Amino acid sequence: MSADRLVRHVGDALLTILVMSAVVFVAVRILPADPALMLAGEYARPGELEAIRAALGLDQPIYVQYGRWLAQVVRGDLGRSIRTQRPVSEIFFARVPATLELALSALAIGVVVGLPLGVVGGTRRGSWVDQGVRTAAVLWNSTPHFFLGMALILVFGVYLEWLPTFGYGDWRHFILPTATLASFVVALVARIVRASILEVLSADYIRTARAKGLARPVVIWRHALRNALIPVVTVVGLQFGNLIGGAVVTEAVFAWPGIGTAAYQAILERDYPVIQAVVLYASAGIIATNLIVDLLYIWLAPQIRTE
Amino acid sequence: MSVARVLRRPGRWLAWGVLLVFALSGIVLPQVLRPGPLEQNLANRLLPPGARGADGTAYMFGTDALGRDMLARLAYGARLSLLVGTVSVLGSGSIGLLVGLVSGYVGGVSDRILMRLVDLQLSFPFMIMAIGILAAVRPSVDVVIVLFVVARWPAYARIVRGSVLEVKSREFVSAARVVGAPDWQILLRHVAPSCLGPLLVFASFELASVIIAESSLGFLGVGIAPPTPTWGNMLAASRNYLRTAWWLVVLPGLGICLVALTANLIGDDLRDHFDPRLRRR
Repeated sequence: MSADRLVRHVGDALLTILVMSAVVFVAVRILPADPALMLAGEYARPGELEAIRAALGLDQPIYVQYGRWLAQVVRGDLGRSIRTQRPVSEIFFARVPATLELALSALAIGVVVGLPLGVVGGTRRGSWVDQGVRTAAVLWNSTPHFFLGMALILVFGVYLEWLPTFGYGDWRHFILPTATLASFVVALVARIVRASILEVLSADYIRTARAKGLARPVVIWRHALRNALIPVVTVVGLQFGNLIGGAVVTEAVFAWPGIGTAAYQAILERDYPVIQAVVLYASAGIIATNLIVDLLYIWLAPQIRTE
Repeated sequence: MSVARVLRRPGRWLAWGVLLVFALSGIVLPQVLRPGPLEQNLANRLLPPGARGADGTAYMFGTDALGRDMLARLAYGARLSLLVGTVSVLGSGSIGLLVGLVSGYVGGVSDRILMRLVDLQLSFPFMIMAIGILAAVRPSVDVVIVLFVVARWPAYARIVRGSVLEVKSREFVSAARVVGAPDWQILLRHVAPSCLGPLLVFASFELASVIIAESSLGFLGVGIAPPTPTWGNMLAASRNYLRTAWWLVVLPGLGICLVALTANLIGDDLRDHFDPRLRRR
């Protein structure tokens, strides 16, 4: 891949992050709730509010606040939580493992279960597996994460009493949140693999492989699947943002101690620096993932590489 | 359309029928039902579906923790869901159509700038951004709609631009140009109609996505705020009654799923209609 192409992709990603940080910064600053008032309480003495505003830098013009904040961001310092006074990066990164645990296991299960389902759906069109996969894909596309989570809690937690309804602890706490998130990934992966296999199976090289007498499984799993996986990698990678978004909502349902729950609490408490950190770090992570997927795609598909 | 054809595709008519029922209930029921969606009656708290209240009122879908009629609240939720969904889709679809047409037809520098903007915005993680923005402003119906319009137009623009590029070099467009038709006429008469199919298909899928996203934001507490009942904030409130009142969870949840499902099925059907190549798959 040429160097200027790499530079352009990376530049785009950085620009996106910069624009996004400005949007979030402005959005969080124009809100009616006054953090100084919340900190000082309703019965603050005159002068106390101004002192707190000055201490937090809230009395400066907004572009000064943004510039100052951005300079800190570049230095890796995102400020402290207005509530707890702990550094926000510390709060954020303490929550990342739980979210990644949830998102990555959902992704892994989704690929392991969804891939074979998609291959069978694509190669045996109209079979019961195919029809099941297609029906499930439409149903899951029409269901919000949080409702599926609550329905699972209702069935397995409340009525059958097999599993805990929320929280974080042993493996039993793990099942319902992971199942909720994973089922969406399964539906997505199966649908894309199916479409991709259907596309690939009509290609000339598949006919050649068959004509030279290769066994059907070899043709499908070696020749067809390898080529069918290219769009799958792209789509699944680009869905990483949605996956994290879904994880945020799923966490809120199950009180899973990840960044979603942290963001949720910060929103309720109007804790700006924490909201900014979560949105900025999470978005930066998602944009970086998209960038990696873009580059991976170019590397996987030689016909684009030489373009 | 003949009766035979209607019967051959029962799914299509079922989907439109369900959507119509939800729309009509949303429009009519909150006006005519008494007690209304906001009227509390603490004597009738948490009545299961089908139960009668102390005063003899029948509650087909039960009551919530404050004794409010679930049917009236669900109908109001349907109204808001469909209102936010359709207005958002119309708004972002129109902007996307305009940008896509200009970008694809004019090309050159304006195309590069517009598509750069589209790419930039498409890589924004929408849910996380929406939480950040809605936490800062007081979320009303208008604010939520504006957010969806602003966030969702780029995808439409990209789709329309793709169709324009495909059609632009076709003979009938060149023919119109040779005859001396002005650009605006070529664009409106010859290019735009070919973009409507993919646009409509995508819009139906978007209707489902927007309705689901709106309910998710409501569930997280950054959507349209109570006491205005939306399916999302009703579900958020139901979390405290998971053990005692299943209908508070199941009914609004089914409402979201049914409406989103019909929108998705209509999208599938439109795709088959506009792209017969896919029909046999």
